[in-house]
Amino acid sequence: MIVHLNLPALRETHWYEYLIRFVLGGAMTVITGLIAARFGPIIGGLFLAFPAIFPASVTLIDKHVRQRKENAGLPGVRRGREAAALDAIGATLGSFGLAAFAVVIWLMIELSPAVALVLATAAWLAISMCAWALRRWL
Amino acid sequence: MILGAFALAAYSWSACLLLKKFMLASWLAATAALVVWFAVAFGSWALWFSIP
Repeated sequence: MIVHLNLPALRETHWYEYLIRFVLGGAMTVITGLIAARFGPIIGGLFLAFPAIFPASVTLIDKHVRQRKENAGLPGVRRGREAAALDAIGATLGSFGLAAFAVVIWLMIELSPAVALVLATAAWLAISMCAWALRRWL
Repeated sequence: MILGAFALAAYSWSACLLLKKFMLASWLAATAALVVWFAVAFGSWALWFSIP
C-alpha cells in the first residue's frame, strides 16, 4: 500500500464531526491540566496519552465506510468495523512514536526545550514510520 | 507520558481485537478498551514507582 493524500475524503466529513474531535481534544487538554495541577505532573503526563479523540474517530470511520457500502446496495457492517480496526492498528503504531517523543523530551528538555521539541517530533515520525514499515514487512 | 503512550498502544490494540475478532460496534469497542488503558497506565505507574 502506498501512502497518499486523499483530499476528496475531507468532503465526506461533516463540520460537526470535526467539531466533536476538536471539543474532545480540547476538553481532554483542559482536564489533563487540571489533573496535573491537582495530582502532579507524573499523573498529568499519563493523561497526555489518554485516548480522547480515538473513540470519535473510529466511530466516524466505521459510519462512513458502512454508509458508502450501503449506498452501493451492499451490507456494510463488517467492512465498517474492519476499517475501524485498521485505524486502531495505526493508532497502536503511532503510540510507539508517542513513547519515543516522550523519551526524547524527558532526556533533553533541560538542555533546550526548543531543540528537545524538534528532536522529539523527529523521533515520533521516525519510530512511527519504522513501526508501520515493520508491520508491513511482517 | 511514556507509560501513558504504552497504555495507549495496549488500548488501541485491544480496540482492534474487539472490532476485528469479536465484531463489536465501534463505540462499544472504543469504550470497553478504556479498561485496558486505565489498567496499563495505572498498573505500570504503580509498578514503576514501587521500584526503589
